[in-house]
Amino acid sequence: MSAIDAKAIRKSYGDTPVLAGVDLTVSPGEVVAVIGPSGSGKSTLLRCLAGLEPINAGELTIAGVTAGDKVSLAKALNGRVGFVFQSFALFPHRTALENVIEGPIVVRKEDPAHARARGLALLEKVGLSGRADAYPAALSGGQQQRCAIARALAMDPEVILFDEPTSALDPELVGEVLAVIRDLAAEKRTMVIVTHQMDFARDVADRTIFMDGGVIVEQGPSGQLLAAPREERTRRFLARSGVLQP
Amino acid sequence: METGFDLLRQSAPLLLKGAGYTILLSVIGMGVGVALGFGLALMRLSRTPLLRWPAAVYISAFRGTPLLVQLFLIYYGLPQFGLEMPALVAAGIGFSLNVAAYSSEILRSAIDAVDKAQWEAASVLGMSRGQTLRRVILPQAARTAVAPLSNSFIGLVKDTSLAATIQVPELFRQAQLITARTYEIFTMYLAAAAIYWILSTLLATVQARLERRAAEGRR
Repeated sequence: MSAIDAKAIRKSYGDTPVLAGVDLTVSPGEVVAVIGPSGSGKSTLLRCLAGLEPINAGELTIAGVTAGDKVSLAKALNGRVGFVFQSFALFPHRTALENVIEGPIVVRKEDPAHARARGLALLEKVGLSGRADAYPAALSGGQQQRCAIARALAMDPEVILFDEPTSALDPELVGEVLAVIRDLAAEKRTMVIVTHQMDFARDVADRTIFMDGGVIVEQGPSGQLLAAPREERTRRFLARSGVLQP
Repeated sequence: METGFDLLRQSAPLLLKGAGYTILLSVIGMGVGVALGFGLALMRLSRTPLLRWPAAVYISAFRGTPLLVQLFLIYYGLPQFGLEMPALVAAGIGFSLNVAAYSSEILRSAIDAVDKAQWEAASVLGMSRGQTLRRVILPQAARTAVAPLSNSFIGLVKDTSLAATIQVPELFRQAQLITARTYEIFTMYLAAAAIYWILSTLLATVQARLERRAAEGRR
């Protein structure tokens, strides 16, 4: 069974269509990068997949849950789909460790001692051991984003969605966050990553999708799509991004 | 001959008793008012128009009419419908209802001011709306609300002097009564003003301490 199965997803804000019929299938263990100009609908697609935005039309099944109109998708998913925000969105009134164990304790009713032990292990995994008791404001952007990744991992997600995870970071902090995502890819975690980091997409993603105007224009194995796209629109975007020679 | 100082010494017990009522009314008005205001704020933030609308009308009515008129309606107006109550009770109800309207707007805007991404971050963890409100949103909103709520409290302490008009024996009313007997108008009202000032200053000190603590939490 696919980890994500989306058919003809449509989404508009008022009269403005943002997703104009998107089909997407992601297999378990697959890493997919989504690239495209701003306003192409790539972030909206990700938000729809996580249940942060309801879809207007189409079918969506993710992590075994099908979007219906009764319960909200996010509630039905119950944390089974992790989401990493561009702006980190850590809880500022809670320490790094408290951020990580909030979901397990409140949503999964996990035993607090057990959750803490797991949380500390996760913080160590993302290179934040020793910062467990720090508040987000005392952490660098890169550390906050790694903490946010640990928070997502704490829910044992079947799929993790990354919405431009390094776009809000100072350049020298990008590498440490990408390294953590790279490790997760090596563990064969199912991930969809909206990114502007083309090199990273090429290295880490099994498949890269190019979106423009609310549709998937082209997709294929990352190396192939980024080096030799079939579509003119993709070629122009990659040329503008400095990946291809114009 | 009786000096101003002697007069003050003689009237001190009455003034302090009045100040006691002032504090009592302020604490009741603020306590009950903020509790009601919190309920109103939640109604205003509800997805159901049936809850949003009555709250909006209530807030508009109580913010759009003078507190003095509200007190008169409760104390002098309601007995016409058989709803008679002691002046102190009427004042307590009046201040609570009034504070509810103002504090609900403070709380609503403090909740609104919390970054929308906080709701989303909680949502993707699978937290319910209630859990999100309790564990994520309100602790952050409370920090924003401390300063304006404290300002309301200080304002209320002074507004309780309006209760004098419905015969509540609070500080200002005591000063009025003593003045009527002694004709020491300036001295007595100045003494009353001084006590209001002291009470407000004490509250302002507490407010500063609360704000400092709220800021510390974020580190």
